[in-house]
Amino acid sequence: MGSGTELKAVGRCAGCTVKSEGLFCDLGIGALQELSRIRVESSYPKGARLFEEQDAPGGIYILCQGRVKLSMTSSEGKSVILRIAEPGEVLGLHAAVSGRPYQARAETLEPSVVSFVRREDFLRFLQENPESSLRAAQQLSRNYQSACERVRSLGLAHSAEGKLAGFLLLWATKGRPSPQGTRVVLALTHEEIGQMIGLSRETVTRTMSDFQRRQLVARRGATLVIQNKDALAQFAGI
Amino acid sequence: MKAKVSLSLAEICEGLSPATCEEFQLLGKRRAYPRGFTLFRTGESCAGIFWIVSGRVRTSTGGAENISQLAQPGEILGLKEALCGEAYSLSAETNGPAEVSFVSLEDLSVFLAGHPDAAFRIVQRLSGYLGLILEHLRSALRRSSPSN
Repeated sequence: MGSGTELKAVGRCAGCTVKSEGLFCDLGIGALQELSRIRVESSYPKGARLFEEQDAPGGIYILCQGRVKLSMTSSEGKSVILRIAEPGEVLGLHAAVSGRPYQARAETLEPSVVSFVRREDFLRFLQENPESSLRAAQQLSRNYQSACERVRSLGLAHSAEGKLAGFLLLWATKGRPSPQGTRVVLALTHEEIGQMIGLSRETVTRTMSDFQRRQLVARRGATLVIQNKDALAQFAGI
Repeated sequence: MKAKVSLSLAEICEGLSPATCEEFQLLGKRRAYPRGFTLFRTGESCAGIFWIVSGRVRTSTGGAENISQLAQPGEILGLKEALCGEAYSLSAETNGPAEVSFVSLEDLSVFLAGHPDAAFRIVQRLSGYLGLILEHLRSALRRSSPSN
């Protein structure tokens, strides 16, 4: 499994041509063959909805290529992005395991290849393959951590600078060092960043410009360079 | 907010056969600790899980927003880190004399590989925790002030 906008047919999991370090990508050959048997692969355009909040849990979606936005909306219409799923992640895991409705909306951010596994097949797969259960447990733990971060960013009386600085530092953990600072791809709009940290689009734009003016960050297209981590950490109170 | 995912022995054993549950309990090396003994510190690489047999263990997140909690007998500490191969995200120190059973990563892996029902039980419990925090998130979203 891998990212990129040029989509490739994934084929069977055991001989996957776009394999990454995904949740189930490096299971043993027997488990991969079983997974290939029970999944159905589909391609989706940008903006496709895989599932909606409160939909009955039909199964899990394994993201083979592309990126998917997982968001939640309150009864007052306020949205928060839980996370941006990357290739290899499993979507709808909590709903499939618990049998409760999906807690989030899943929408493709770019053309994506996704494998669907029916809930009953997935539960049987987990129970017959302890290694896959452990992988599922790992992802649930990470999803839990990610949700905690979202609660934190909404619940604490952080300033806009603090919220954005905390978000950028978290995002920078996926980056690579360079002479100018940590380089990371941040292919999110200011509106999407705002939905992740509870700020309006205008506030994100204003605060980002302020950070750029102070040379804490630099942005060229989808590439962000974190130039001054210490200053951002001070804003974030870390 | 740092995640404290500490399942209890009862939660894991629920639905398992008594023999499997007993086997799990026998995996660990039990030891009595005096008050104030540090079981693990934030950032240390995870060596395994700690099941509190008796006494209490104080966990703390450290940092500016230090959150301190008392773990009770039956609770298992370090499970999230053991499953994810991460460093401990909390520090744990005995709050008084305590008996704690330590299960190494290797022993835990072998046990779970041989007991799909136990592995699946952990998935179910973690899913339950995730459901709770998602409900909490929905409440926080409702309460959050209008966007700045």
